[in-house]
Amino acid sequence: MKKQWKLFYKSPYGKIGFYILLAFIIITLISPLIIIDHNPVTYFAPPEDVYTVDHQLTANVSFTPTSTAMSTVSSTSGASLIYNTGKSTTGAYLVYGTSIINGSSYKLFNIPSKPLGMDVFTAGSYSTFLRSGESIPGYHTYVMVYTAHHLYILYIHFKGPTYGTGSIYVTSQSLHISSNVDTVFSSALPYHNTPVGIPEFNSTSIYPVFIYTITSNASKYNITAYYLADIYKPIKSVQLSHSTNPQMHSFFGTYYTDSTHQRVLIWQGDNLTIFTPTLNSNVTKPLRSYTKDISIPSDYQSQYNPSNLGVFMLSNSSVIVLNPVTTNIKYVYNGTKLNYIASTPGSSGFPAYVAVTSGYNIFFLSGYHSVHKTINATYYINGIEESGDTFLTYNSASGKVTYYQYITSSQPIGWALYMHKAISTPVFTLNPKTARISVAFNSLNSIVIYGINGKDLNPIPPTLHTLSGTSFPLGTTSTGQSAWALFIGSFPPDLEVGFVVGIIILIISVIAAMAIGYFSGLPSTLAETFTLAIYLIPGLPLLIVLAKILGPSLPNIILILSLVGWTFPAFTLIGIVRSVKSRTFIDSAKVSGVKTPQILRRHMLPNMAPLLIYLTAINIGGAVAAISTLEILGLAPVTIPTWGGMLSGFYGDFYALAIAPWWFIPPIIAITLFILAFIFIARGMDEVVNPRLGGRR
Amino acid sequence: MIETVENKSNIENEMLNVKNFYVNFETYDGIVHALDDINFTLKNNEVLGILGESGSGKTTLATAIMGLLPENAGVKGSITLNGKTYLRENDFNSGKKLNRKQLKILDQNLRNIRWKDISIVFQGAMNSFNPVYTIGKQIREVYKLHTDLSDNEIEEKLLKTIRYAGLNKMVINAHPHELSGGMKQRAVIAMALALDPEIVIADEPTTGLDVITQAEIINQLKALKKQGKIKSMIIISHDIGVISQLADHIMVLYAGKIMEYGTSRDIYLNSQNPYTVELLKSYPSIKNAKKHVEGIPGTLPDPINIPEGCIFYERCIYHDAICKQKEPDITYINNEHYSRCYFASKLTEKERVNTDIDGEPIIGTEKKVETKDLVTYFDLKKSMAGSLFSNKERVVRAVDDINIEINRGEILGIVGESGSGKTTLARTIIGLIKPTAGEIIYNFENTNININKIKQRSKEYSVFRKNTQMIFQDPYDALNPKMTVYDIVAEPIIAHRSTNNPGEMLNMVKSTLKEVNLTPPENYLERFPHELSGGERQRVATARALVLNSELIVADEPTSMLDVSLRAGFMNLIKNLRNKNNLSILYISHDIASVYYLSDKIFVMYLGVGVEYGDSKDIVNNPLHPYTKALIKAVPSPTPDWNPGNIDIIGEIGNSINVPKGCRFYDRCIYKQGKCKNEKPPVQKTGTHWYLCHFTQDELDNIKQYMK
Repeated sequence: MKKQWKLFYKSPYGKIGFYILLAFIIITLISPLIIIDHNPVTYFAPPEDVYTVDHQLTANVSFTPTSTAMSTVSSTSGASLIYNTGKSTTGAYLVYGTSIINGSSYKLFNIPSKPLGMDVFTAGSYSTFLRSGESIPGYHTYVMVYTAHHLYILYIHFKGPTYGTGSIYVTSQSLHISSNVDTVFSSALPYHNTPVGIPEFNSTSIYPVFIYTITSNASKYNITAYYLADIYKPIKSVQLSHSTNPQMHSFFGTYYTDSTHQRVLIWQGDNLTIFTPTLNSNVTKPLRSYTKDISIPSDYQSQYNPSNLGVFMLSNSSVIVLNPVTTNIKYVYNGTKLNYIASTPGSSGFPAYVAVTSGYNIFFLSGYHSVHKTINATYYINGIEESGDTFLTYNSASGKVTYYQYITSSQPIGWALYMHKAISTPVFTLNPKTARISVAFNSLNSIVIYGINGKDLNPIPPTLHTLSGTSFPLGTTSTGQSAWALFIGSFPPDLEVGFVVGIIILIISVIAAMAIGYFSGLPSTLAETFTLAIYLIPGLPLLIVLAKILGPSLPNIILILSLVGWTFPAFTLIGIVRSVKSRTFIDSAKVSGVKTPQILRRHMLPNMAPLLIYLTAINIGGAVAAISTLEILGLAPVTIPTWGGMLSGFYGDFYALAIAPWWFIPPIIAITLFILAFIFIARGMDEVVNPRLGGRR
Repeated sequence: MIETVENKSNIENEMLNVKNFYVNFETYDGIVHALDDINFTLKNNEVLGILGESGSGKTTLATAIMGLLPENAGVKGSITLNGKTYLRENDFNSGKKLNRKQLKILDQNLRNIRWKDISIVFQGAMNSFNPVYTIGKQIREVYKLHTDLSDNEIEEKLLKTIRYAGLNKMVINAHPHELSGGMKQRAVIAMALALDPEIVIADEPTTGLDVITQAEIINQLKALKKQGKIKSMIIISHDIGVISQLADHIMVLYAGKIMEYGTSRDIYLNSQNPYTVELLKSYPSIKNAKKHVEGIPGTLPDPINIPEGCIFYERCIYHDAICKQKEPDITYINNEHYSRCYFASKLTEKERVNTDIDGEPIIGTEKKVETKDLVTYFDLKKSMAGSLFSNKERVVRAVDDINIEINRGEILGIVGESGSGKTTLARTIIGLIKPTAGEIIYNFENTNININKIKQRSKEYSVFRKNTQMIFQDPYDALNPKMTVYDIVAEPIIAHRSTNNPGEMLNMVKSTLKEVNLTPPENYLERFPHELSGGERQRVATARALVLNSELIVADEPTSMLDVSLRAGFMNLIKNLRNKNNLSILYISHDIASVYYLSDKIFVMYLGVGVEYGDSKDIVNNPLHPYTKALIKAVPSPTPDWNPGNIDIIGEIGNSINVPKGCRFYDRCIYKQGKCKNEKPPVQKTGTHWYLCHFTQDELDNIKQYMK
């Protein structure tokens, strides 16, 4: 044995093969330690690492957006524009709209002086809002832009049979206000200070549309209400009781049919003023702390006195909820350095989630003093948006956006993106092209639109630093599985299949070869014919059929490969058995009275042994090749990581081959090396079995 | 050294001159010294015999002369043909590689010489014909490669050559498988003679041939020499008998060194080298009757580590202290005779010839085995292809109606050419083949066992198996290479559950090994067959046969694969064992001399039937059957004067499928008459000596007279 080993080791092939195999076995043994993730098949990379947008539009606009917020109003049937104020190359201020569909920009209106802010709202298709001469019902978008002393109301009307084909009509009204205009907002868009969202008027009910302005004049602050229908005639104008600059205002009860329940809330420092345009009284409510941010669950806008809840207010250290009608306050959450708040619709009772941010963290509250989940966004959050049950946090300076969905799941982060440059506040918008809610924001002078639902996932290149903190030394597959985990995880099953199949084949073929080769007569001939028949059945189709019948599982794969693979070695061994059988020492044993089983065991087997080792080496390599074939064809169990399985992704997606070399190169190398190792070992064995080969050079 | 005695006329006359020639092979284990300081001159019209055991470097010398040495060979010295040195030092890799131009020149030189000037009949070349081409095509190829002759000229030459070699022109269109061994060998000789070479090298030209065919081939070579068709010849053989008949000069090689060189007569009758003497003494000859032959103990020295002093020191019975220290120089006895020995010309006549005759053994009267009308046929229809393609019954009549008996302590020798059914008979008797008809009755442990009537699992069967053992022809194949000597010898003990006690088993194995002269047995127990020499292997095989104290041993050509020096030792071992253990032995061989030396009775077989049976002395000295007469006549004798003349037999042994209807020997008998063709011959019996023929000896003599 020692001598044979020496002979084997002397052969360069045998040596190389041995070391490759040794490396494989060592990797297999230490694979649990280096695999990183212990279940490579069920493990998927956190989606934020591998998200692909479904619609990404980067529209270059010929205007530089000014610091004013971007507003968007879109419709499902008409053309959708994102409205913005900007500065043209000639230095003139203007309002422009950018098409979500094709990115083209439309100049809508010239503004004589620098716009301070804008607000956009859409009125329903009710004829009340039809302007004279308009006969085609449609969505009527109003863009309010204000400068220091002017309020401009632009009426944007799309006319056309299908979306995208309509012409854009712009009519404008302007109102001169002698005092400084601080804010203009409308009851149709009663969201917080940055008007966002898509108030879709699906019913034909009439909602009165009020327009409010907050003006200041020598530390005196006035709120004035107008009807949209008649903008030149203020309905009511009230001076606010505090002289602090209102940091925030909101409209509560947008969808109340009874306008007496509508409230306008204005925060001035620690004080809250509750104003109702149809009532004469103002309520002032002192608050204990400075309110930094508020959130009104959207469904509360249509419910009067919803479970005594109303406006969620966030201060530096606490979250309170206020019923604007009764002005009762309830404490929701106590924290430190709280920054922003957003809430899910919350049709009745406490909303599903109230999201509160603090620095890098976002807390999802599912009830009073109950933090459901804390997520680290990895960047300093300087804003939060919500749409339905989903949230969006961002850092506009560094261009980082994270989208959260399925808060209850283990992976609540839907996706994330890094623009690596400053962006405007992202807004939710409906992308008419995909009929999906999208996210839009400005980035330098382009508008970027992302769908919030990924179409599919792209493989990500090798990286050690991802958003979720996982490292992917070999990148990921298109399904987000770590290529490294799959690759390392494939070592034990592949080696197991190889060795088990190799040994089963060895046992079957030795028994068959002995039965066929040693004995003669009809049974032996029949067995040989049967073996030949199996041998002659085309291997791959047989494999496929068997795999399909037996179903994909590791034992079945081993069974199938063994059933198909034993005939070739059996035929090789039959020759050996027959040649050994004709050797004199077999006769000698017979003459000595040795019984047949003893002859087979003591004489036949040892003389077959070198070839057996040789054949086993080839079989093991062959089994790995065969299981890889099955895996590539998708016939092997998907619950087991294998090298072939890693490659099966390319069967239907050759493009992935081009873009993700980190994904397919390691398994290809592994399969090749593994088979090569056994071919080399077989070559080395060959020199042990036929020592003359070595001498011949 | 040799130049000093060469006179001028010799040089003019010389054909081939090998000077200070060394060959060694680089192997993984070390440098093998294959040839060491070879000097000889082959004169015009001279036949040089090279005699030596296997491993002595005979074939290496032949391939070196042809320039066919393998790549790992290193060469020193030179070979000159007709005054032109074509192979010299550095021509083969002796340290540095040749450049392309040098290689080309060497190749050109050799190509011109090979076959045109020197041709070779390789050992076993008759089996290396391409089976898919006709003989004619293969010989024609020689002309096409080496000459510019037209097709017609080639055809003419081909016919001539074929005729020279003693072949019918029908052979030209025959495929190799259609020819018998002897015809193929003749075809090989024809091929070697095709281009009228100056020198023909015949490497073991008769090995593997039957004794009669061998005699015919030798006669053919002699005739060709006489006709001048063969000009000079080097004949290489381990067979002293073959060399003696052809060679003018004999060179005795031992471990790559020339031990002795001289004329044929000098070597055989006046050998001055202990090795040659011992070798000649080992060779059993029918002329020497039953005189004791002595083998040479030991084996060839390791060719990698050649020992100091005389290479034959270890095995030499004359060795002295000086032999161990320094290698002896060549000593000249006369101009043409030299020997590498300190004691050359001191060897006496007595030492050269065997005189002892072994005592007669005691042979019991109790029959150990008896066959009654034993028949073993092989049905060709049994195989699938056979039954498909053959419509009539075709059987090989390997053993046809054989009646033999072996008494206790008796050695029965079976002789006959290959194909006569000797081995089938042996295998039938030992139970490896089931007889087709007839009975084999054994008598072991006082019970009669009829092999046809017992079952495989019966007690009798086990007694039969226990008491019959076989020694096979090929000691290299008869031992499982994966088992140690201990395992091999102990296997019958385990198989028959003679003992379960490991200590006892070890003792049995050891004592048996001692019995076959493998001493001390401890040295052998853990060795594998490949670590043993041929003689030792055959002894292990014998030990295996003896370990159960079996009563009947069948030995199927046990010495045919052994070297001459070992052969005698092995035969003596068998003889001694028989005498000691009162064994009954069935000894099969085509070597009549060794059968004669060993056996008490001889049974002559021809095409499955026994043609003659009698005391060995009677058979050899007074053969009665025409076949036996020819067989005995063909046995070569190791003396330079021996000349068998005409062997009195036609053609070669046929096959056992289409046997003649009447006398089996009909086709080859020179005495054949009309009735022989269809009538089965009767047994002619005088005492225990019988033969199968229609005619008495007188009638046969008359027929022969008449023919003349």
